[in-house]
Amino acid sequence: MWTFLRLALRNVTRAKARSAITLAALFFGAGMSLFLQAFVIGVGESLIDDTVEGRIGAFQVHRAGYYEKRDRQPLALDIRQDDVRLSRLAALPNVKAVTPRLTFNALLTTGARATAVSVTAVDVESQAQVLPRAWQYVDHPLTAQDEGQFVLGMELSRALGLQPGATLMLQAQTQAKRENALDVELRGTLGGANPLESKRAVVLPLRHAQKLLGMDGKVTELAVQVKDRQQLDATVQAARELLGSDFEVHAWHELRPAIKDVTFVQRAILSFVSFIFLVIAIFGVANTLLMSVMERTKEIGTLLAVGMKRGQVALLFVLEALAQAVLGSALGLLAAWLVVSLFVMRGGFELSLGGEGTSGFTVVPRLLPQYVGLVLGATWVGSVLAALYPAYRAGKLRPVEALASN
Amino acid sequence: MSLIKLQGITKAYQLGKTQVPALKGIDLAVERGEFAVVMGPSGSGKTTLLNIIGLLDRADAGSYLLDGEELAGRDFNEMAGLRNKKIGFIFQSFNLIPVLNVIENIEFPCLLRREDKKLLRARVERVAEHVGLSHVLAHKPDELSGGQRQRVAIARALVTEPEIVLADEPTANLDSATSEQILDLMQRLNADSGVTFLFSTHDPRVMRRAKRVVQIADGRLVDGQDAAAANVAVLGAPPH
Repeated sequence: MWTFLRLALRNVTRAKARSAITLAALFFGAGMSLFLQAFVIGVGESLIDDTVEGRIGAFQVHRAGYYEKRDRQPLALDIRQDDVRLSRLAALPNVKAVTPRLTFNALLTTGARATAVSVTAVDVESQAQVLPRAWQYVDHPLTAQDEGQFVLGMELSRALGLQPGATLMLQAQTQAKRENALDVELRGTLGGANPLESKRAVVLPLRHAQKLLGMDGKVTELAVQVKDRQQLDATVQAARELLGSDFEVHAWHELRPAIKDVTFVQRAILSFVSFIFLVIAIFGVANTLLMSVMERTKEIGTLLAVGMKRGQVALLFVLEALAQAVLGSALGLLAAWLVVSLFVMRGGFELSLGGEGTSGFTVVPRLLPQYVGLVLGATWVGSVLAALYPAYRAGKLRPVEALASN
Repeated sequence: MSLIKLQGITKAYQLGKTQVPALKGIDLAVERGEFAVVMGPSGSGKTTLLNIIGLLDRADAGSYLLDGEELAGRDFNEMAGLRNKKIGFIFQSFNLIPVLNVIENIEFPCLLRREDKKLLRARVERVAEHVGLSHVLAHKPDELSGGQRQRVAIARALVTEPEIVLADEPTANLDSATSEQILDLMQRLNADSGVTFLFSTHDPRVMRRAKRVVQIADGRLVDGQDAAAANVAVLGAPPH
């Protein structure tokens, strides 16, 4: 084998310009595929991290039936905070922390204007454990002492011409179906990546919301963070078994299926683009080898004359393709790794979903070993497949005809 | 037993819709240790004959015994193995592998049969020294003169210790002085080691040195000629 490998490597270096073009195609194909994969993985992970660590937690617990009725009767199915089963939830092996929340719709009134808002009431202290990124897009986050203050979506705040310290009225229907209102003071604005959030979101301290809704000691949901996200499904199952049929437990991807769908579609599209890059590179290999077979026909005749077998001639060309694929893809991997490392060193880059008042989220591209293996493997296997036809043609040559060629 | 025995060998080529006969029933025996020439005008079939003897091409019909073994019906890879083991080739345009240096070119046929590289290297160096290449072992073919390249080809043909060396116009691309040196070398190898040589050539210098000349014309052997008679026929009477 070493005899053939040595000959193949020497042949790769003999037509320098042509080999350089083929290597460049493989380098570009593998390098771009790897970088795109790293980018897509980075976007996907940022979206998921943003969701799990900044918005809803790894999973949530509601009263049974809540998820289905939440739009019509968001407060009807509540959870008592002192329920003994809930305290056991925090003791599950993979559970890191639990925070109670209330979500409901309300009217925010300033002077003559009233705007419908979507309110999330949070327990500031426990939320810090469950959603460490919750305040990442807020200019002045709430503190445990901010009893009557709130945070408003940046675009809505701008539209209403509000400044921090402005006092507004928050009006909502209580659990007992009575109208109630409370004064709230604007503390900060929320400028996350989601344009809808920027237009409608209100974040309020939990106790203030409970007062407004007449729901002392009651919440609508528990957001739960886990220690190891790889074990999420098992933890969700354990929580379901612990809490029984009075409660429903949903993992983040069940609560926000769009996030999973978006990352899946992104991966599918960019995998297709990567595939195209690789196909172009592999056609380059096939073309180079076909030209090589034509140019080296007489030499193939000599190899056959001195006793090389058909399979050995074919193997020689396959090894040439493989050598180019390994070298080109290794250079592509190196380039992709350097670019990704550069982004990582700079802390990633900002990606915005668009819309005024959104600040985007940080994407850190990441090269996953399994994708590196996939792209390199695809390049190598593809190049070998591309070499099969030229190799077959070389192996099929009759020595007498090959030797007679010029 | 003859080293090579051909009986009734025919070969025709298809040129468009026409079948052109190249060999029309060749009977030929080549004995061990011969230094023989196949001569004939262009298109007479001598290269076709050498190609069939060298297992580079197949006869359409007839029997071919090499070292007593019938070769008709052997598959491609068996023929490749036999070429590697029993036949050495020397080509008009040397046909060296350009990416391999002298020593690698010489040893290449042996590596195909997985000989031990250390043992092989000693033999290769000995053969290279024998043909006068010791000082250029690390050179690539494009760094060698025509004569040196042909010496490499001779060394490559000999290193496998073949039964026969087939040389197709081996001096055609060499100047007179180099041709004489190459012929001296092959003649010496024949005399000293008993290597059988069979040439296809137009070169009178080769024919003068041949112990036997086989004349071919129009795809048939011309009967009953020995070297002296053929030389007279082809070259004219030697000067007195």
